[in-house]
Amino acid sequence: MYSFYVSIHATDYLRIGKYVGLRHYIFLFSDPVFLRDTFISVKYVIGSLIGAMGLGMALALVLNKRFPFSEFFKTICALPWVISQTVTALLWIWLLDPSFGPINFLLEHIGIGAINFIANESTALPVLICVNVWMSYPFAMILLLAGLQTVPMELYEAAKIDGASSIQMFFQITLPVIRNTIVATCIMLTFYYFTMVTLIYTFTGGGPMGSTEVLSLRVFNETFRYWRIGGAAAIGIVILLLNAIFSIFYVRVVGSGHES
Amino acid sequence: MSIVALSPLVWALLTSLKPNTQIMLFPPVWLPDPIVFDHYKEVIFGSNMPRYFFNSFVVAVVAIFITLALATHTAYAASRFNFRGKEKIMFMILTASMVPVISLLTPLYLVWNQIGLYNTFMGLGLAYAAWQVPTAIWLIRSFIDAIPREVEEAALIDGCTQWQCFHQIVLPIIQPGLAAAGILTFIFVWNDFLFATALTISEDRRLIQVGLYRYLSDLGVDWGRFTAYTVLATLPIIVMFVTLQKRLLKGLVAGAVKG
Repeated sequence: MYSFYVSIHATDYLRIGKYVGLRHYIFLFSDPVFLRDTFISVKYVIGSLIGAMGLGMALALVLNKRFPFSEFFKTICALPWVISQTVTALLWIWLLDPSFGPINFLLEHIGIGAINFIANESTALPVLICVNVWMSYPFAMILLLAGLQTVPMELYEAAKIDGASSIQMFFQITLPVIRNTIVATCIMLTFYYFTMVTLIYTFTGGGPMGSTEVLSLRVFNETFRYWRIGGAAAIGIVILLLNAIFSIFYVRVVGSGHES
Repeated sequence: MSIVALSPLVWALLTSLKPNTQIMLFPPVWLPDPIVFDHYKEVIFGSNMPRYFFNSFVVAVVAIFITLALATHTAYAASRFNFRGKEKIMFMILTASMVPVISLLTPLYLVWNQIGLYNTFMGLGLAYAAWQVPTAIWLIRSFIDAIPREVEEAALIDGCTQWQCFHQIVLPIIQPGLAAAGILTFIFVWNDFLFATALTISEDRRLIQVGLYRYLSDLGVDWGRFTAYTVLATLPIIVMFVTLQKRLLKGLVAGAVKG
C-alpha cells in the first residue's frame, strides 16, 4: 500500500534522527521554550475541545428534535466544517481588525473599546481557541447527532413515565448510550488539534511573543524555516505521545464512568 | 447559532461587493452601496487566481482517481475474501492515517525530490491520495458490507468471474459510497494548505489555498480583493456541500463510527 510506503519512510527517517543523537530529546526537555510550547499546546487542545464538544453537543441536542426547517439549520450549522483553515484564519483577522473590523465596532459601541485581539499577548490564545471552535464544532455536532439518533425513543418514554426530568434523562440515558461516540469524537478532535498547523500559521504565526506557538507549529517552523529536521522529528514524537496520553485518558475516564 | 456560523461568511460576501472607499471606514458600513463587482473582475482577470483554480481542480481529480482506484479494490478484498491477518492489516492501514501530517512532510519532501515528483501535479495528487486512502477504504468497505452476498453468488453461478462480478455488480451498487469518498477527497485537496506549500514551489503549480495566503503577503492586505478571492475559492465547496450534504454526512459518519 502506498500509505505504508510513506509511513515506512517516515520511520526510517526517524531512526536516522535518533542516530544523530538522543541529545535532540535532552536538548528539548532542558529548553524552557519547548516546555512553554507544550503547555500552550495542551491549553489550546483542552480549550478547543471543551468549546467544540459543548457547542457541538448543545446543537446536536437541539437539531435532534424535529422542527420546521431543521434540515436547513443543520446544513447552515455544519457549514464552517467545509471552510478551509486558511480562509477561516484570514476571515477572522478581517473580522477582528482593530480599526475596521465589525467586532471591534460592536465592542466600542457597547463601551468596552477596541481591542487588538491578535497582537495582544493575553488575548491571542483565547481568540485563537474561539476561532478554532468556530471551525471545528460542526464535526462534533455531526458525529454527536448521528450518535443521538441511535438512542431508542422507548428509553425516554419509559423515563418520562417514571417522572424523570429532562436534565436527569440527559445524564442518565443520553450520555451513557452515546458514550462511545463521545470518546471517538474526543479522540479524533484531539488528534486534529494537536497536529494542526495551517490555522495557527496563518492566523497568528505563533506570535505575539510566541504566545500561540503550539508544538505542531514549532515542528513546521523547525522543518521549513530552520531546517532542523532532527529536532522537529523529536517534537513530532512528543506530539504522538501526547495524543496517546489523551486518548488513554478519555477511554479510562469514560470506561470507569460506565462501571459505577 | 446559525447566525454565528454564517456571519463571517456573510461579512466577507458584503465586503467583496463594496467599493474600496467603503471598506476602510469606521464605523463600518454594513451594506455595500452601490454594489460593485470590481474586486471580482480584478481577481478573475487581473491575477493568477484562475490558474490556481485550475491547478487545484487537476490535483483533486488525480487524487480522487488514485484514492478510489486503490480504496475500492482493497475494500472489496477486505469485505469479501478471508486471508490471514486481514483484520490486523486493516487496523494498520487505519493507524497509518493517524500519523500527524507535519511529520510526514519532511520525508515526503525529500523522497519526492529524489524521484522527481517534487513540484508536479502527480506528486501532489499521490500525496493527497496516500493521506485519504485509509479513510476511503473503511468508508467504502462499510458500503460493500451492506450488499447481500447472495447477489454476487447468483452472478458467479451464472458464469461471471470474480472480476466481472466486482465491476458489473458491486461497483454500480456502491456508487453513493464512491461519491462520498470522492467528495471528501475533493474537500480535503481543495482546502489543504500544508501539502501544497511543502511540495510545490513554482507559480504555475500553486494551489488555491496557497495562492490565497500568498495573495495577502504579496500585495499587502487589499481586503476587497481578498474577500472576493475568498468567496470565489469557497463557493465550489459550499455549493457541493449544500447539494450533497445528506450523502456526505452519512459517509462521514459511517467512516468515523467504524474508525
